[in-house]
Amino acid sequence: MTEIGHPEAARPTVLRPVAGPSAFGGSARRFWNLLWLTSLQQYRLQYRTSVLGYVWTVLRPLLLFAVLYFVFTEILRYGTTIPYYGLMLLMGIMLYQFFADATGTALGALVRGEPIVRKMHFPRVVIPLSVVVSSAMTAAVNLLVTLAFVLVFGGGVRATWLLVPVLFGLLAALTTGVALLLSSLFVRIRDVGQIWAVIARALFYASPVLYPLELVPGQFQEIVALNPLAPILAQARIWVLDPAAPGVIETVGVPAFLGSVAIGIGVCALGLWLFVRQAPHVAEEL
Amino acid sequence: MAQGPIAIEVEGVSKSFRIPTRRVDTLRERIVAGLRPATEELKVLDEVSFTVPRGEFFGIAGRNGSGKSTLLKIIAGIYRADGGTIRVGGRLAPIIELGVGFNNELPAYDNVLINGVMMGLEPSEIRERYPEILAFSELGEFRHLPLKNYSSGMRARLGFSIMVHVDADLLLFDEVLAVGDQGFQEKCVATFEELRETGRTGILVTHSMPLLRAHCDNAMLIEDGRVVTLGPSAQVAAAYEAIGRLRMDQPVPAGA
Repeated sequence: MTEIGHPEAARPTVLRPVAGPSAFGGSARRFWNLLWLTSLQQYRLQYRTSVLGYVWTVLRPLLLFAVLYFVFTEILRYGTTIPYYGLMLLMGIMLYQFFADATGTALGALVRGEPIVRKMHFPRVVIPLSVVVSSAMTAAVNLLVTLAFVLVFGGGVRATWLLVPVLFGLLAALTTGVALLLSSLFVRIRDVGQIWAVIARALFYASPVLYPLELVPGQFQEIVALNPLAPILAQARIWVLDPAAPGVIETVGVPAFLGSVAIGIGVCALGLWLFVRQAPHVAEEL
Repeated sequence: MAQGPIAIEVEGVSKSFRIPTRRVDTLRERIVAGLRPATEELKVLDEVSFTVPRGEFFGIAGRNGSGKSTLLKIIAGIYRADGGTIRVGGRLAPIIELGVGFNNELPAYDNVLINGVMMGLEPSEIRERYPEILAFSELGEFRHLPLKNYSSGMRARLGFSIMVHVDADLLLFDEVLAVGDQGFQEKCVATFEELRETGRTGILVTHSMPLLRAHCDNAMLIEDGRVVTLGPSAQVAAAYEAIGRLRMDQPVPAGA
């Protein structure tokens, strides 16, 4: 028989209270190992049973782009006067898709994870967070593909590409906040699933993905800009595609921009607060 | 009985669940039910206390719904106790059931890796121990199959093998021997002995009185969340069998 474990002398005898369930508790090493491995596992399993596998990661947003591009440029005749309209649309779709995929999947993550949540002690936040991280892996690949398209069809390499990770980080933070908010709300109120499906669709049209911010009619401009995704998408366009495109503050003014930032921070804070508050008893509520 | 240093100390642990008289899951139900949906308190554990010295296996017996699993969950840190304290000496395995967190689509290695990390090991340590874990589970020839092709007994083998190889000092087992063939059961039982000899401490929730008698030093019987008998396992096993016989003569109470 195999020898099991270390000798008796090494076993500690000092008693410590058992840490109850929480959002973040436990050793930091275990937290990161767990987050990294579960994220990687989800990323790898996503398309495991499909024929094209990882190709879908890129193909799905590209096909969506092709449909929208055709409808908007060929049928609605929109965007012909906007520099790099196609690339702007492509990048917008890739970024928005990250937000939509991660939040939509994170929404039911605690409920789907019930068998683990009810039978294992671990930092609860790993569950929604790993959804965001695995979606971010997909998004990172998609952004690289977008940059390749920009290289071929756009203005070439720009120094400001180096700033893209900052925007991606902000987008990931916002996505995490929403993911925490939705996953904890969904445990108690299942309607959130239906509600979020509508909101996520509305946000797509209310974000400067299909159109640039400056072409929104004046009275709606500030409303669109209040959407925290708007400044991120608008700034991405400037840094990746077109330094000459008008800036967010320039277009909508300081108050609307600050309002957007405040809403973004508010949503993240609310999500984190709610999740941390619910984590100790979420196992009992599933 | 000679007692070593205490490894697990449970003192006055109580737990109630708020059971909605009608389950309120959706917004409509919530609005209909008002802001405070009707709930009733269900006391699942009432002032449970016991200690387990290091190197001992402690048995918990009781009928279904008596609070055994809830107690195990509180000890593992999955549920929070309403009152009382639990203190442990050493590293506590965080799971209460073998194979928790296994992914059906993945083969043995990936599951061992993630399960080991869940138990608090570093990925490098798990890679190092993987051959040993696989050998112990005797599942070597199936290692490339995704777990969905494993039987429940095979899953339990892999789970048990991981559990005993992760250096946890305190192990919680909820009906481990319920699945698995005789070979596996004998192996489990032999392993319990080895774990005790190397100073590991365990809590064994079981309905099997022969198992309780053979492998637990002390035990307790809980009924409706209260400790009714606490002492040497033979005494507890006898008490459990006695209530079993008593119930046989009576109609089964509703909801038992």
